[in-house]
Amino acid sequence: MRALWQAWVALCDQREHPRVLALFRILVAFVLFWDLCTIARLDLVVAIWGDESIGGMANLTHRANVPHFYRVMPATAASAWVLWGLTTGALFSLMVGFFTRTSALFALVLYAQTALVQDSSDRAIDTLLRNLFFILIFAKAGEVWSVDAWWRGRFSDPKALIPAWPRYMIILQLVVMYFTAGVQKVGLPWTPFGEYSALYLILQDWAVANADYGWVAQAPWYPLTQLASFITVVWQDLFPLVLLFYWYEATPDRPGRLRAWTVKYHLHLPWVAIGMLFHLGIAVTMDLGIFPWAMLAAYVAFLHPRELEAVERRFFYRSSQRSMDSIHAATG
Amino acid sequence: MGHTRRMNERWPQIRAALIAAMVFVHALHAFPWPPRITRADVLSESGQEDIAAWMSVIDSVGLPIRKSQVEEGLLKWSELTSGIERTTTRPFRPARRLLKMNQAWALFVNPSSHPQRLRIQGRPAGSHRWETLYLRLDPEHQMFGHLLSYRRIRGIYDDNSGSKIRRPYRNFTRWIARKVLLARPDLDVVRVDMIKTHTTLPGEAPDPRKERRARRSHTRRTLFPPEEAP
Repeated sequence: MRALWQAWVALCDQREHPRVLALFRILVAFVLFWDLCTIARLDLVVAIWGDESIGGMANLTHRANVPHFYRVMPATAASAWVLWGLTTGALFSLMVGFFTRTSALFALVLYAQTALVQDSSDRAIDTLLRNLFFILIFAKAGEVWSVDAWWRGRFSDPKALIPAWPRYMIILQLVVMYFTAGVQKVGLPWTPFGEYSALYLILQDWAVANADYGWVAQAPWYPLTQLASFITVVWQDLFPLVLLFYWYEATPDRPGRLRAWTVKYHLHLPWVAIGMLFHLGIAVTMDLGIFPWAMLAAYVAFLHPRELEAVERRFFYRSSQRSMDSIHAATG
Repeated sequence: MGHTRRMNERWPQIRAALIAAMVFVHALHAFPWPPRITRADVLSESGQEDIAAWMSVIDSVGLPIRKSQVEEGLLKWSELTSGIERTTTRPFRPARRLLKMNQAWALFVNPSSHPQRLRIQGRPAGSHRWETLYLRLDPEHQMFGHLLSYRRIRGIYDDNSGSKIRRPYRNFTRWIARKVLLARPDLDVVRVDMIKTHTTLPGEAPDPRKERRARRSHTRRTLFPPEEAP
């Protein structure tokens, strides 16, 4: 037990470069910032967060628990815009890394108020984002690539080190989400008794599909949706395996064939790649708003800073190489 | 000075304990408690379909269990598990409510074979003919389609599959009716409803039945009293 505790303390004490958490902060905040800008662009701020007495859809006066925001502010159209402005401002501040952790706290509290005002328009992805903002309150995600870092003169400090546990908690959050979503898929359509027809049925759901997918009933499409339903359940049920892959990579010197395989092929990467395909498929076929994009943004956390650095090097090396080639070509 | 040093030395342990406590609290909420099932859920069309399907599985393995026993057992089990969930998560409920955080990820647990389709229709004054203005996923009828397909608006009208019509849905119908009547001065009445269809699986006979649900009608006179009329 003591050894287990010491291992946990050591895990929580690990440090790493902040580039992954910084990119995670930027992408996740950007997705929600974009969504809030969409509300303003469609002129839906008062419609969604305004009281029914002023033409909105929220019920702020005939309910037992009035959200804190509307206990302080009157139920007017201006107040709905103030709520939108404060939440969007906090998200922008988090995205650019200005008072990063304080911004994460404000983003969480204000975003929670929007959910309390209009519960029906708050979806599972919004809950997930709030859980992630909660972690960002404790993460030093503004140590690089932020206004805070620029102010301290270390915008892109290659030697910066921060506690790694917030990234581990983000990974754990995603594992919990997929795993519990998987084991709760007990409806018949997710089983052989229901012909693994779940994805077929979802594609026929008027509210969720983004087009008429009646043609999916034809071969070979229906069997493909059955296969995809099967893979979805198995992949979600087995998602905790990704933690095992990380553990194997962290302890490469121990014995075991699967460990050796994991270390050699970095099995967490293909596992995560399946997830990316899953969410891209959702983005193409379904009308779930920011869900697939927010999930893909959160996937950054699966990368180790070393892996992201390798991607950066490859990308920047190639683009700078191309620039140099074009300069050489232009100058003869 | 000594106190600060001792605190710094102990910090990794304290931090690890705090993180462990937080993981424990979230694990309590993440435990995949089955969603609470009511008698109305059991007796609903899709509930009865599910039970019939499970009964055929039970019958095929020869278990001597009756349908009524399955229904009562399901309700008792649901009552027990939801009771345990309520008790264990009660201390954290205020914080969870304030921050709207949760770990309940029941995503597409049981895809519906009876999806609902939003329809909006309008009628000119003195006419009996209804004009379809919006029908979800119908490219011919897409009035305000860019607003109605936005995820947060969709969430409001789609969060209405139970027998009770929720208040945000009623507000939604009033909101969209006002927008329609402002955009179309020739119309006098707007009605909004959900068309419930039945998706059958390939190989099964198609079911063309359509059930109209949650209909709400709004007239120009009720939405725009004389002093507010556009």
